[in-house]
Amino acid sequence: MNLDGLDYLAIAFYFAGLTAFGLVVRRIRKFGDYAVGNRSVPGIMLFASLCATYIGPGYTMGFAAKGASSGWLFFFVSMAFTAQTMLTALFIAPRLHGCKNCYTVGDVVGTAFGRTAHLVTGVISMSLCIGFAAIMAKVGGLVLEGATGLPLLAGVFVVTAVGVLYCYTGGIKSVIATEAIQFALFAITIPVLLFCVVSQSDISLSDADAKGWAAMHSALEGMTPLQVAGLFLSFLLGETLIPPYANRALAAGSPSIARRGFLASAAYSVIWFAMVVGLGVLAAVIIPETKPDDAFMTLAVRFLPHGLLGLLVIAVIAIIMSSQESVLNAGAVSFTRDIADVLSRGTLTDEQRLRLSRLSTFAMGVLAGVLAYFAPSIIDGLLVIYSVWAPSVLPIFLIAILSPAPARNAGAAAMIAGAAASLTWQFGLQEPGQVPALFVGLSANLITYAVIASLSRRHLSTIQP
Amino acid sequence: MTMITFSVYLCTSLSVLIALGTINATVRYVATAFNADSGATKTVAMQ
Repeated sequence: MNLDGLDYLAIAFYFAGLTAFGLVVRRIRKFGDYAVGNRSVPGIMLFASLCATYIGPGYTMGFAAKGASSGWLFFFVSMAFTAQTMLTALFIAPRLHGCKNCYTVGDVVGTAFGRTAHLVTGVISMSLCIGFAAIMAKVGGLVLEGATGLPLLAGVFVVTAVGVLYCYTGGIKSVIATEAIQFALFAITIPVLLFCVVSQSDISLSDADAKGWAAMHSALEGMTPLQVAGLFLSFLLGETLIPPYANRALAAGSPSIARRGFLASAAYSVIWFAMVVGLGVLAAVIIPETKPDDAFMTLAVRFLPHGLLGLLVIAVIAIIMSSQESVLNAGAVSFTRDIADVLSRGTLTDEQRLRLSRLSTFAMGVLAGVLAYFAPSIIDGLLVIYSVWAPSVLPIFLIAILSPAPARNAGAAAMIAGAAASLTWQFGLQEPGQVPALFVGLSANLITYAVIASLSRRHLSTIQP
Repeated sequence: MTMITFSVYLCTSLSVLIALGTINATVRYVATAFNADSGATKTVAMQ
């Protein structure tokens, strides 16, 4: 990429600023502060933090690529994610905030389903967070390598080390503060890019719009109804209530703040998806010869002046880092509460929990960096994550929050059955009949839960005359 | 209004306004959240 001194200066200033923040921020002294910000995060910070977490490289460069190849299709598909966030806002986040002794998804599941389910949730949550962090580290390394020529390993180190530093010192409070600034940065930079593209090119907006609709219809004609349904289901459930989102509901100042924060982030998702898919639709008209995957960066290099181009590179790194630090913090807290605390049967002191969370933040950063270097493909990694969370933990987590009488001994078995069925269907059998693995995993989870719950009730009615 | 004008004009304006509001809120949050922490520490130390 053709960056000049001004761009390099902007990038160096960004990393120096984040490092300084990590070093000077006041150290957190209580585990509750580290994990859920003392449950006092205001609404607008919750909103910005949620947006910064869900807006990753997939929902930015990935969606611009989809806009270039299939027009407006992914804008409408992404409305499933918006709907999910709104449903979470209305029915889940306020109730979740009411779980006063809970710091993690595992705590909520463990309260309803016991120690084994708590431990299984912890292992899945932590693995998911490490996987996400590794993928983000790799994308960050690749962006820095492409933009500045820094070797991949050094780029992975810079992106991960700076995030780990302020997660380590300030816990979720630092994460939320930096995420809000990072969110503001890319919420300004992407509109600036759109503005530059429209003002400096001589395209007709109505022609671009018409081509966007035509590309969407053409993409839909090449898909079966089952594939379309699977796509919607993936966006509806794939990331629902993953640990960093659940942690933010727990960190809100009150149930109504949790509701408002999630609702506002759902509303902003419509704005974001329209902008990034719109960039792709414009790219299909302005630079039709460019590969869809390169559409976003090609537009930036062609239309942004130096200085602003450096700012866009920073915005892209901010998009990556804000998602990575969320999962680093959530994974570390999950390790402490859902694995170490459960195995030690709750004998850890608050100070020990805080120390353990800090150490695991550091260890997760190292692990994510190593896995990033050896990870074969970003898409493969994301596929594994999506095919594990929704079919395993999500249904049991929702039952724990919403059901007045969950079947206590059905949780762990249902989660393991869901994850095993989904992974086998996707990677062992290669999705026969193009039936999405998510359908199969969810069905396995719910059937296992229903069978064990029904057998338990029959057993109870036998021993209680 | 077409989808592209919605995307290029309305969404970009809203996004920039929201971002400016967020910066303002973040400055206040950093000032209060980390100071509140130090205040609590001082209270404990005095006790």
